[in-house]
Amino acid sequence: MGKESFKPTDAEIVSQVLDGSVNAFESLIIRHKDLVLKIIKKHVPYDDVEETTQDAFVRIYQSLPTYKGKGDFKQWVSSITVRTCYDYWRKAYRSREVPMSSLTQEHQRWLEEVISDESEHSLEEKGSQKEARELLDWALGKLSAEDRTVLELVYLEGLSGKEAADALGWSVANVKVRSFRSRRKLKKLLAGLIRE
Amino acid sequence: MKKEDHFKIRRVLAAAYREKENAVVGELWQNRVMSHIRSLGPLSPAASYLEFFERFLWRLAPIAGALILILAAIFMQINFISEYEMARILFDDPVDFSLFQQGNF
Repeated sequence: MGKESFKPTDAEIVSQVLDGSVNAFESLIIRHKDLVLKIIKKHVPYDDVEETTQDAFVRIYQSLPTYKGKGDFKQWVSSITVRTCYDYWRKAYRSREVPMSSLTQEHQRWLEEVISDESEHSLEEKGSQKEARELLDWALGKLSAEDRTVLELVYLEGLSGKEAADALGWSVANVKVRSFRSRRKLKKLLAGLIRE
Repeated sequence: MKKEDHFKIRRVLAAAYREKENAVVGELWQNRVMSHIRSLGPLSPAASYLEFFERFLWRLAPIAGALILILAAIFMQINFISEYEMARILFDDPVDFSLFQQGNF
């Protein structure tokens, strides 16, 4: 018999933590840190990733009594992490700490290059360039915390309205309305950059 | 902006968004989380909604009963049914009802 047969399930570790074994939570961190980090890295600026990850795990720990043990624990963790990212932006916008990057003519030229590009492969390559990241940060910085989060989940990540609604704890109708409005705002912002 | 131009920009922005995943993060945060969690101490299990409901339902029953009686008495006093009927007539036949109210009927 291998050691793996003794590996407790997430639900078992949760009940250990709820029974007072605080240290058992560390194994949940080890199991799910990659998932949590993957989400946070995409939603939050690099400098704040560590702090937000810490906040997410503290929130997960404090929410453990509400975990019913019925659904997928990973999904439950993802949902809390997405909400932590959303709260990060709400706090940042409220305290006006959102970094407002500005674009130069170089970005404009780069965007025009993207539009004139015909190859699918080079579009993917362009996405890994500095200009793409700066353009994305600039556009997202112009949106509200709600619009930004929905746009990231639906438009950039490709989640369905239902999946985004589950992750944020909103209604599907609210996600659809937000998604529509935020797309329109983004389109307007990008159209303003392109010289006709 | 043309549809195909927007599609291309979306592809590039989505790629840039996915690229963020590759950022390298240190491991120090893990120790900080655990020391924070230890400082919070063990969790107390939250009472479920059902338990909460069971605990308070019977305490609230006499108050709810008294409230029903009081409201019934108030509605009898203010002739709520007639008010409701009047509103219904107004919506059914507004012209006739207005004439009736003015005493021209």
